[in-house]
Amino acid sequence: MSPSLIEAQDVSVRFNTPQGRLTAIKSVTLGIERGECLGVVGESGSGKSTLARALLGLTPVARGKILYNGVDISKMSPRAWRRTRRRLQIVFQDPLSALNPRLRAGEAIAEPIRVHRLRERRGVPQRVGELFDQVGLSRRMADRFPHEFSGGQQQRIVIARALAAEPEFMVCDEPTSSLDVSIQAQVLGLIQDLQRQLNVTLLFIAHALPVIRRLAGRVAVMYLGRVVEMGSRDDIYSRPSHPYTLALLSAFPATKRADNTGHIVLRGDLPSPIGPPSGCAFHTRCWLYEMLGRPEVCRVVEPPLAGSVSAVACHFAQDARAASGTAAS
Amino acid sequence: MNSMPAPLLSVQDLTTVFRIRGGSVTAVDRVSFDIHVGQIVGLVGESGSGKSATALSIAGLIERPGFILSGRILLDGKDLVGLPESELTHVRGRQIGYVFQDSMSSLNPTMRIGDHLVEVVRHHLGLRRRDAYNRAVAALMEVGIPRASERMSSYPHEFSGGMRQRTMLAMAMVIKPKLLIADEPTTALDVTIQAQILDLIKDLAQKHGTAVLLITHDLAVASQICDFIHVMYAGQIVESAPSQLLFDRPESPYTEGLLRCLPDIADDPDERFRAIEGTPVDMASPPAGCRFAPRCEYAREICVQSAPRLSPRSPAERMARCWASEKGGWRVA
Repeated sequence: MSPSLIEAQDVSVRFNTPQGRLTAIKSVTLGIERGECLGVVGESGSGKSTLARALLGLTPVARGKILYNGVDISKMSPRAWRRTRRRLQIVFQDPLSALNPRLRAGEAIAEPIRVHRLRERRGVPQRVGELFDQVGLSRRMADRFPHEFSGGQQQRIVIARALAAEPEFMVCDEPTSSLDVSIQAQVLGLIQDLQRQLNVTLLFIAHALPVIRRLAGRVAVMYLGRVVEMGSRDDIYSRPSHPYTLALLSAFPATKRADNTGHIVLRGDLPSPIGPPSGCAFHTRCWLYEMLGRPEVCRVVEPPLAGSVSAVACHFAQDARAASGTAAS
Repeated sequence: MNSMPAPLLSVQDLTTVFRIRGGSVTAVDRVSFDIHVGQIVGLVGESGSGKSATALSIAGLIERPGFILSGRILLDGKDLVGLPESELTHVRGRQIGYVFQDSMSSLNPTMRIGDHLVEVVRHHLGLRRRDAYNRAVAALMEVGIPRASERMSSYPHEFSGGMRQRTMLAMAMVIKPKLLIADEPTTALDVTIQAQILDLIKDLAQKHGTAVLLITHDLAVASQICDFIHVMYAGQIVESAPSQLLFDRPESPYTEGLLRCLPDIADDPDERFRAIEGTPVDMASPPAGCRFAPRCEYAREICVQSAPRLSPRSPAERMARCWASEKGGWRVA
């Protein structure tokens, strides 16, 4: 296996809240290889955004370490960290709150180029123009303010600004969730093209599996702060074996298939990450647990993420796919 | 067609206008559709398409500077347009249930869950406190809130998003309305909770024979529970069809484009995303011809010059607004 560009080793992140200590992510180990796109999927509260923030050094880790090009980022000198941080960029869900309302689009994109001294002063306008072209915006729009753009165009500005820093690693945190359907595909297509052209390493966060099918080479599925299944695109979409992955896949209506047959509906809400369920954290909502007559092991023993290439954290993973046909109602 | 019973809701040529500085915006432009008892009908469109303005018009909730310019809204044969406010309040309270997208801003944070429901029942049905209380508990139970009588004294912030949306449904259904309008009821929710709420709406509609108007921007959501779907673009209905037919063979290029934009787990993973290019229409100055023409891959001269009408396709219940897909048109599906 080639060395990872960025790596989480046994990372846990905790927050102290008035209600008690919250473990936002628990013992997550994963690596993202150079040029790859890793998709992370989970419901709100699954810890997917916290994982991304930890990888970018935006949130302190309680345990474990984050390696960037093999170097522990918490051990970096302030100067080395400043140099590194430019290489790590993030695109958030809501573009309007990510842009300074009083900064014209061209200025917003020029800022990182100036701050990091990536071009000589005279070369900045030309570079800004190139970035406008790259994200499919007209250069004539450079003098407009963020509110004068549509949501899709605002997100293009945010992407251009992230690219202006010439990142190696970019996190896209649900970048299309706040956009209209017809615009979502435009932005996803843009990210797909940019990744191929620029060879940026991507972590793409989504709350539903279909969105990242065409972007991600590998996918990690998260539940209550744990990675419950991880594998190649084919593993996750064609041979899923965690009961939660199976439920997520079936929760999404199949609009393009004639057999819009039943789906597995999970009961209840995501439990609170403060005091999560014992044993397997998913057992309180697990259809397989019910089907198997509530085996004790699920309540008592937390299943490890087992497997080398594709990995799954479930005591009964080998039964899950066969059983899912019967579980769909 | 004569054997069909009269529809519960019949919207006819509804036109709703908003006055803005220096002119007006026709948010809803001669929209017509029917909903029968027990039927679930979807109104699908992107932001600015007029779907919510249509729903608000039906419920009599359009406020200045907006107003209904023309058209009829027949609920059980009675025209709601131009009804005095007092009478409208009565109809709304007794016959129309409304679920909004954002449950947190629709529930009063200082009021207990139970009091929300009791208030609705007492105000609209005039029940006594004890009867109203029992009715409220039953309504919470029906929408699947566990330990409903205990939960009556919870506050909204103690509920999860899914449970708040269930409460909204209980508040809408507790009056046993003939029509339920659900405006983006699942948009703020996670996929697994979304599936639960959609199933619940479907069950409730079946059980009580409630007609449902589902407003959504997401064709995938509409596909899960709707019998019939109307697609809106720039204030107009551009296609109407039974759900399955709409997905299998879209007639209008806009519907076709929307379907293509939907990520699906059956997609070829190596295919590039194919979007609808361009941006939505500026409603203050819509194009003269077909409103979708500037973004349409099939557009020809006639599309830019002359606006197509919503005309029948085959089978007869299906309609589309498109020159290219009309008989003798150049779009081959």
